[in-house]
Amino acid sequence: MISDLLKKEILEHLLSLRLILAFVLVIALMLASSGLFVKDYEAQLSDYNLQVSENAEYVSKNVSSNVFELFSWGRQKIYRRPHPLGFLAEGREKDLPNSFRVNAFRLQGPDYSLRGNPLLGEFEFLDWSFTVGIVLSFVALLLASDGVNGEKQRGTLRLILSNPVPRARVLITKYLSTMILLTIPLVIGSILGLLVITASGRVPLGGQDWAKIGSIALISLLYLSVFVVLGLLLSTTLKDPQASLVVSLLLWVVLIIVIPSGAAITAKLLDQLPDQNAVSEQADRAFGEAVENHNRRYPHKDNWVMSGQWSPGESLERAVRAAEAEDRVLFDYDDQKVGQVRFGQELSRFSPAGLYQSAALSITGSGIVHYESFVRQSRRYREELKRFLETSYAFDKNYPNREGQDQISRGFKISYASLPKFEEQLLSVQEGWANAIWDAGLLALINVILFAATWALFVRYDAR
Amino acid sequence: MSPKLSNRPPKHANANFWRTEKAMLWTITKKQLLVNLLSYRFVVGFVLCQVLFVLATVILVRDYEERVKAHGEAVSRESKKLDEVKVYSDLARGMSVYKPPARLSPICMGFDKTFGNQAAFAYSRAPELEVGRQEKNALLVALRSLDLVTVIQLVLGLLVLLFAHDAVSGERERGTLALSMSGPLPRHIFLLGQYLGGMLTISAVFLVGIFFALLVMIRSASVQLGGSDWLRLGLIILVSLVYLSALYLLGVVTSILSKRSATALVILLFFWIVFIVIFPNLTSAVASKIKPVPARGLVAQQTANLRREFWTGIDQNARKTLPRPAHKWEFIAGRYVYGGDLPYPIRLGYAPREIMEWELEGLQRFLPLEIEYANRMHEVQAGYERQLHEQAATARFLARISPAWSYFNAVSGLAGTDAEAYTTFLAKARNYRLQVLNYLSSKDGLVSYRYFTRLEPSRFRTTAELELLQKQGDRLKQEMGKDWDSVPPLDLRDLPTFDHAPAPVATAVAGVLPDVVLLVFLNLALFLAAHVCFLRTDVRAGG
Repeated sequence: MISDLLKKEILEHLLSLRLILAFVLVIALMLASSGLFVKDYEAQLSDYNLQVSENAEYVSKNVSSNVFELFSWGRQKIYRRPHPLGFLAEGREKDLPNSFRVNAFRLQGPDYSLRGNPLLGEFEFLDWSFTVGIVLSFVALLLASDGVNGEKQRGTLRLILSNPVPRARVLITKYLSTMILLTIPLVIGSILGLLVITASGRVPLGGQDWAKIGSIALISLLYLSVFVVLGLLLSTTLKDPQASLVVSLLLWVVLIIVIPSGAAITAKLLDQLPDQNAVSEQADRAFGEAVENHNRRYPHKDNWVMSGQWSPGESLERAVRAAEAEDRVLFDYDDQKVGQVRFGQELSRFSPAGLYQSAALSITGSGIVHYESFVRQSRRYREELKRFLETSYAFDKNYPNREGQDQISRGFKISYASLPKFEEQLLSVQEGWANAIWDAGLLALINVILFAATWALFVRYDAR
Repeated sequence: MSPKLSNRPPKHANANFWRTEKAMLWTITKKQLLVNLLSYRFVVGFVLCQVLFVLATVILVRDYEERVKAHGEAVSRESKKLDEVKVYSDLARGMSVYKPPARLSPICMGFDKTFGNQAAFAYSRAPELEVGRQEKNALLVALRSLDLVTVIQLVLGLLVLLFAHDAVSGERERGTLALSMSGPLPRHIFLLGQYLGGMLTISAVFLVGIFFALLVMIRSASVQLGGSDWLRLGLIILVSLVYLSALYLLGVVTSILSKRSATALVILLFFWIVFIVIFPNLTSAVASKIKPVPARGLVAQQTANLRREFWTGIDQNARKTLPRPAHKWEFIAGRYVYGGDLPYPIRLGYAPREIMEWELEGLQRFLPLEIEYANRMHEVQAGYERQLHEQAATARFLARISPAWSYFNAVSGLAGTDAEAYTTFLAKARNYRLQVLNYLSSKDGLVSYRYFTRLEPSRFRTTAELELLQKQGDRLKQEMGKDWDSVPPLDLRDLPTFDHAPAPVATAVAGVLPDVVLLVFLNLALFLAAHVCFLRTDVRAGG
């Protein structure tokens, strides 16, 4: 019986205009975005490789000449790599900062090496999570919003219920059939899109990546299911299929467009950041205090005012402490900036679209998640450079030796091979799930609650 | 309404014809208006839109206030910096000009959220296209944003389509269409009435919303709207109505052509999602294909090469050909500061004649060279920016296919938040840099002693003379003069000021004219289409 019902439901919709339009739209979008992504990724990657090799050249040139240039005066440039799974969830990757200037004492930036064209305006990339999040959720509501009251209007509901079928089963078939119908374009679109991507040979996908793709598919189904159940709920609550369609569409606009858009600006107003200049002053003060502290502890006739970077004749220990003190202030400010974006994401979690978006970003490890991990790795790299300098510095770290400077410069030889190098690592799927588990859990919970409500209403539903 | 129709005299007296036709039109309009006003979708849509308008405006105005505050702080910081200029190098080495937040940006944020409001420049650097400086936190780009235009474009747009989709097909399904047509009612009157009734409903939602939004806006002390702003606002409201009307007509045409209103709705909803929600993504993608721009890295590489070339020149020439003459540090005072590795100083309080002359020679040789390289680097950047512009223009052109995005173009142009407004600001800033350079030259403050010192050349003394003075005790100290901190700032009252006024209304209107004309034309074409289709339509239900 259940298979008969399922067959009926699917066949009834399969040839409807809305489903055909949805199929065409979703598949076309997924294909187009895969094609665009391949081209885009190729350009970005060559940009990235160019910049990375330029930096390597800079480092290898300076590694033999001058220890101060390499560790203190000069700045290496380190870059965030383009994400190979940007077609899944891009999260404005290209508009987020993607590089730092770094030496053993400073992490300056973040900088943009602009990769997009800002004059085009701010648009999200048509990634798959956009297609699912906006287009398919819309189709889900469209299909489900007259699922119950439409049948009632046509009189077919009475007909079905006159058979010995439990009501729960009717509801479940309705739910399952809609889910199956939604899965078809998603699966076809994904397969074709992935074919385009793998056939191009420009985007290498490893085991981790396939796990991420699978996980996103899973979360997408969870997300779409929310809208199917929501549609069924509205269609059970409201008498008129027209009314339930109107309400569900307007609700959809609020959930998909209004809440996520409003969240950003609300976050900005509720979580105010301190002024940039105040922060720089605070950092300068921290720097000065650290220098003074050191000068008091290790008095020395050559303990001059500090140049602001580690220069010949200056104590290494003092430079390290001063940089650390300054970093604490500056890093904290940078963290607050990320925190503001995170807060905006929290606010957008009032909508399933927000939950879905942040889960997709966490699992892919792109967008702000990618940026955050890049910042972490950059800081770690600066730490590594510092430790490398401290361990290989064979001179007195506390007392400057103006006379011995030449000796330091000459006696301090580093090979390019031994120098720590920066290469950004992408987050693994396990790390992604650790962040996404709450979002996924909440989506599941919403599903359960809405389904329970629909079930409770449908059991008592007057089919006449 | 049928009793009224039957009350009509069966034959029209010629003189009365227009009056009765008008009366019929009014009846149909009123009927449609009432049907709409009493409908479920109106109640839900009206409440939703009003809540959205008010909430969005409250947040947007707060945001605007923050931006105004930040702008004021930045401007006063900059003017404080100008008050402390002691030598012309302080001026030449770095200035910033600021673009005040557009007064109508709460209505349409447009490109104000993308671009910064600061253009920083120096003698050695022209202002460049910069992103995200207006925002304290540039990372917020990762989240979506919202303004009133988005609400109108998306939410009101959807509502319009919901109203229009059954304007004709719904009546046909209910059988009221056949009934109406059985009377002496001309079809075009019915259609016009249907249109007016629908548009009145939509206008009610929109105008009440914008009224609330304006109430919220003018309550804020920071939002000070002048005469021209009200004019712009009026035009924005007008264009919004034209946009909504185009969508309504599109809905009506679809409704006439579809047998069932459900079909019409599905088609319109897909239209909405493709042409309103995802359309700009498509156009920018297509524009990047048609008009590709070179990789940013290549441009950066070219600039870096020029910079390297410049520094190699400095390294080879300055250090080798310009050795510093013998000098005693005790004869040099007052912030002897170098500009990085540049072979000339930024500030120099006192120095013997030999050193001064040597420094000037460095300046004469290398500052013009630096400016030349700055211009060459700027050319590379400007060439790249031109390509970005061409690409954006292509995208803008393509966006006109969708009424929603020609509408966006028009409104952002009128509000002064389009990309054009930013590039005009940038061009003005570039021009201002040249003005400042001219000013410096006119003050003889660029390639002369005045660039780095306040000491008059007539007071320069050689090291030998200074050594003599040194033997006379206090005389040297007197000669070397005051400490740098007590040097009075330069008088910059005649420094040209930066004009940041937005483009006048007339320019803005001329800029958006193509988009507005297109929308108006679309209205006419759709109305004509609706008319033609409706004349041929079968009014019977279930055909």
